Amino acid sequence: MPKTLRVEKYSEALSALTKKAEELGVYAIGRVQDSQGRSISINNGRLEGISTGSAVGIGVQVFTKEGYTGFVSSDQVTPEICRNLVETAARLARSASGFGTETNKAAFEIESNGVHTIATDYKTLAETSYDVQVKELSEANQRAHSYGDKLSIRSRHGVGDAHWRIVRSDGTDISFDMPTGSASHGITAPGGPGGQAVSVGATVSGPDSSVLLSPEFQERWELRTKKAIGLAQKLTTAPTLKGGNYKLVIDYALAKGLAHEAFGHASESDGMETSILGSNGKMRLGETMGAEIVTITDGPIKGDYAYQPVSANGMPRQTVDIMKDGVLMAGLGDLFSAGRAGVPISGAERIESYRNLPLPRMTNIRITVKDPVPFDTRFEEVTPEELRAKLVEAGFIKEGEQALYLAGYTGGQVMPKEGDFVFNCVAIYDLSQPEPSLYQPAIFSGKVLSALKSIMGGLGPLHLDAQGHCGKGGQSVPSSGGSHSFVVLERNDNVFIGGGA
Amino acid sequence: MSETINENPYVEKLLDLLRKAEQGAWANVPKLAGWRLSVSEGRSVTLSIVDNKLGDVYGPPTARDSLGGGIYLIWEDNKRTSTSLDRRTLDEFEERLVEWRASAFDEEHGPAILEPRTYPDVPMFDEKIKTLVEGDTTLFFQILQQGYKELRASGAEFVDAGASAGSSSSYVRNSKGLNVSYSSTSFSFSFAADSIYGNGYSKRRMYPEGEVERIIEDVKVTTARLKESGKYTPRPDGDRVVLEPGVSGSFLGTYLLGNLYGSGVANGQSAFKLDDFKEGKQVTRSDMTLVLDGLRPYEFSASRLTTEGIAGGRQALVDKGKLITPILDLKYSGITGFAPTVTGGPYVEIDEPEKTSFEDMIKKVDNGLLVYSLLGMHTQDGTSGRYSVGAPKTLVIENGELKGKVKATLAGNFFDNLKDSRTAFGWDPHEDNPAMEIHCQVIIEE
Repeated sequence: MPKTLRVEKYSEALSALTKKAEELGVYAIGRVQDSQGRSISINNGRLEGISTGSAVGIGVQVFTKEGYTGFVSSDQVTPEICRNLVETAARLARSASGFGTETNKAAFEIESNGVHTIATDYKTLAETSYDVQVKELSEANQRAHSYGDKLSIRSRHGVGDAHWRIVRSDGTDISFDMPTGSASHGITAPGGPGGQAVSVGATVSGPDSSVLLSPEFQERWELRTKKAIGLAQKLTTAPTLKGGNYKLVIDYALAKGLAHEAFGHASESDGMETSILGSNGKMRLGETMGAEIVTITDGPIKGDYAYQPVSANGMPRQTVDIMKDGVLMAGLGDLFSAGRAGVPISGAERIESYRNLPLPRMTNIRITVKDPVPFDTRFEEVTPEELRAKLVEAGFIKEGEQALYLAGYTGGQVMPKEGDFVFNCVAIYDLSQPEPSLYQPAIFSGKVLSALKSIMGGLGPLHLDAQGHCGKGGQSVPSSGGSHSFVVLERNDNVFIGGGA
Repeated sequence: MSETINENPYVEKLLDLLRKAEQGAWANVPKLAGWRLSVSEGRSVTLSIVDNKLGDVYGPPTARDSLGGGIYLIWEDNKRTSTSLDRRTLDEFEERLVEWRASAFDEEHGPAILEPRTYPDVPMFDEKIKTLVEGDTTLFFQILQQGYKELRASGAEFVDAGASAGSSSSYVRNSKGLNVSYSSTSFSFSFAADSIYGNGYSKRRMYPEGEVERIIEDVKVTTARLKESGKYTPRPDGDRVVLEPGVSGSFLGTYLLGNLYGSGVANGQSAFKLDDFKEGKQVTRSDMTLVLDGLRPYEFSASRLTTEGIAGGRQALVDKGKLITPILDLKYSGITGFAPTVTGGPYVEIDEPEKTSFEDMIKKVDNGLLVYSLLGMHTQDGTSGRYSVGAPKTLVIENGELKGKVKATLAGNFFDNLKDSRTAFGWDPHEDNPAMEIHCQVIIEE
């Protein structure tokens, strides 16, 4: 049964907001947030802390008829405060007009998205026992310690239950929730003689405390933990790889990084004037931008860590094939810039909190390739040796050919205006021999379009739970995505692995 | 300059409710045995230029009001609760108290509530900023329009810029009588040209005369240099690489400061062990000292006290290259046996007869690189010391002169750099921390 959303109680305040806007002759968008969160940390068997938090507030963006805009926010959501906020935002917008600020009338050109609520039925915080969470997390921490020697392990579990309500002057009034849950181990393997300490992580994510409490998630987390610990212990003495251009095999988490950093940001409509996917401010729709086997899709998935069904401007979030069979098909379009970027509005606006301004950005982004090679071994249990054998069997690499397997994603960064991206991995294996050699991680950098054109194929089923946070515009929002278990990239002069000289 | 702080109605009401909880006014939860809290209430205003557009939907004039804080409770059975405070806490106090109790836990080495002590009066408040925040923000438009016009005239195709100011009042209280209130302000602006290079001002007071012009000029000159392409051939045995102060700070933050936090040290999640501090292990060259300093007037790092009630001050974490203390709150002070540390910003000090300027430092490099930005630093494993990062905005240095941009990847071990006799430091008078010259492996992406 869908949960009751806490934002329902702000109807009077929001009615006062839209009425005041009408009185002042301005268009207003109100964004109410009512969030609760809880996090637990176990450090080397000791309960380090339980912290709880909540956030309530409203952001109000006002547009004058000429399209001048002002924004205000407050942590009080009452009728009187809402009326004041509209007045202040309208004053800011009008005063700014004298300085030649930019106008945007997009809000006046859309129709109401109606009045409705989209609520999930995932567990609320009130339905989740602290004692059970602490017990399970403690046991997980204890088990993780048993998988290696002299390990230091900090285990964290966080759940969040954010409720939102977006109202607009056109009558739109939509409420929704964005539940999140994660369980992770931060694992440090000490450096022995001649070795350095190494830190790695193992994480599962989803919509609530089930990430910690359900057998399905527990088993997945356990497998990832064992794999991470094994890798960390070997990495303490692993050598550094020689930097250069190589044929690459990346796992699905790295493929998510490639999709997110190398492509997703460049497809966001607010940056199209300077994006490499744009020309004269318009998205280069219809142009071939990647290998013809490649499709890149972004959209919310219920139960996913980055799920968001409605945009921060109250538009339905759509699932979009940004690239289809190598051809650029659509952008991540928000209300304010989709038109000038020449793409449809896809409801891509997201915000970290009510205090922020919406920006178009990704939710769950994934790379799919045509006719992936079947690979039935469970992803967490694939060894480098087995992967190499499968790659040879499928014809992706020849015996003795040098190819690198990049395992695990630790984050990335992009400059969409220049098309440069980097991301990093946990470890690198050289697959040229039947017993792959392990190397230290190194930065993977390149040019967006070159990387996408280099994709040769994929192996295994889709995995879409590579979880992280995106920091665009200084706002952190959950992000996720993935691909087939493994994706193969042909050697390319514009795709580069750092390392030693 | 300090401002007289009036009593805050929210704080006063909250204190009243906490005192009642100490007396057992709510039978459904145990009594409180102690508590500490911090509350901050204020307003901030901002304005931006995004891709040449002043004050558009992505950077309009904004005003944000907020109240927030944190509270730490000790119940009569010694269980502890740590949670946030928000505006609704007062109206929902009983409900919150029940929830806080539900989240209470036995905290090994849970700290006691501190007795009040004397706290330094560090200047953090500028009346001019408060006036701006509460009234007319015309100054923002003037600063941003000046930067936009000058940068566009210098050839920048796209300008991004921002200005912001804030004013807030903070209240730190505890059940032992700690009662400190203070005001603080902030002012910042920045400019960036063509997403190539940016610079800005950020302090707790208004900018000095000429600062806007100085920063615009720096963005103009440096952007122009970074638009010229250069050529560089790395040496097989490593190269001389100068990290400009912001980049140097990023390395120091990730690899040195990041390994000094008490929780990491005490739990084996740092490159340094607790015994390393007890033995004063040498981790950098002996002319290098790293301090936490909260006493620098009008800096963002300025601090009178921590929320736990530790007085502000100045304290060495690494002295002449030797580990002195991890960064410790009360809990990890109890766990490690070291005294709790002050709050403040990290500052590097170099014991040198005469400070070398950043410009002179570059002049001394016959063949090397000057790095202006990094890609991927946040993806590095700080405990290992190893780095492999992109350096897309890097100038070639030839015989002490800057010669065009290359895109580089840097690889090495920063712990080795910190001990390397060849590592050098150079000072920019407008930056708090020095530029560094290190030796590392370089790969140039053509």
